[in-house]
Amino acid sequence: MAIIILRTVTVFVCIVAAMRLMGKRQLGELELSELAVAVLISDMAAHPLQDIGIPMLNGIIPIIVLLSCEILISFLSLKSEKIRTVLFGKPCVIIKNGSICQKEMRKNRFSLDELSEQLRRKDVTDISSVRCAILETDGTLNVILNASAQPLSAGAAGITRQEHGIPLGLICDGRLQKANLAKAGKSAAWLSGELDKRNISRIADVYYMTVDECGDIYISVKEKEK
Amino acid sequence: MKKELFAAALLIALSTLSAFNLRYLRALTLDMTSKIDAACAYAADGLWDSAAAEAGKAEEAWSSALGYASVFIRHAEADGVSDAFCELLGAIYGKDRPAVLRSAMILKKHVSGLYDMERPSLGSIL
Repeated sequence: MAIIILRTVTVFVCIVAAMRLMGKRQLGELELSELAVAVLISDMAAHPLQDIGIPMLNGIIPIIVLLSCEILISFLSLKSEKIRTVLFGKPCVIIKNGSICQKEMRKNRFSLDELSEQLRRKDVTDISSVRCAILETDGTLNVILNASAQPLSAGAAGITRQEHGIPLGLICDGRLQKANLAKAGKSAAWLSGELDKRNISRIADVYYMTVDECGDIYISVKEKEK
Repeated sequence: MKKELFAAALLIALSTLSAFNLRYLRALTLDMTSKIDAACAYAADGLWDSAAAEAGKAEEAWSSALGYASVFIRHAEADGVSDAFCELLGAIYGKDRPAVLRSAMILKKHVSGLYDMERPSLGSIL
């Protein structure tokens, strides 16, 4: 039993390290080779866990080889458009100027049900309002609406809005994020002052606090445990 | 670029290590096989003490390589070789010529299998 526990922990660490090394893209929508690698890694890693008679290297070496191949293929596809096209294909236009491209639908074996589902996900109910819908290489559909159907932006309405930028987390679960405090250009004294204004005596009492580029603050206080 | 170079280096290192592994296994299996053959020859001539000594040397070579073998070879295969050694030594101590020949054949098949399993060939890959 101890062997299984130790093997499981080792394989788990290897898988997490491999997924981490492969990069953030692989954790989001997967391309074909990335999906193959992710499935293979998880399947191969399980073999030494099911049978302790199988050497653990039989699970770890495939992970290392797949990880290396995936990194090299990603690099080659980045450098060469031809390789990228061969491995991942090309995006294709499914809807153009409100009209469904039936030839592309057949070529991609993309059914009307799938199209409807993807459009609903994009909050599109009227196909005639779609200027262009592109089926990406990872199977997702991206939609560009006609100008008249697009939501009105502040710029289009001639309204000037303040830029708020990305809010920086200053306190997370009662812990001060010093790096973010420095990034925001604020001091500990400023932070104490802001907490005092809201009758908060300790940093540890704050669940989440953010500040954005305009200086707007969001604070969420920890709930008192019953 | 560093990650890609590291990945390429890792693949090359693994290929090199597998080549070394094959060389080591080849040398080990050839050594063990020659000692088993020598033990059989002694047993055929009735020199049971020499046969036991040769078989013992082969078994010693296997025992010292067992740790390494367990890392790369299925434990069932390694156990098969160990069991076959017990059979051979038992036949030698029992001074049973036909049993010695039979168990030596089985042992040599197991031993050669250790190398054949690791050797890349069309049959093993497909």
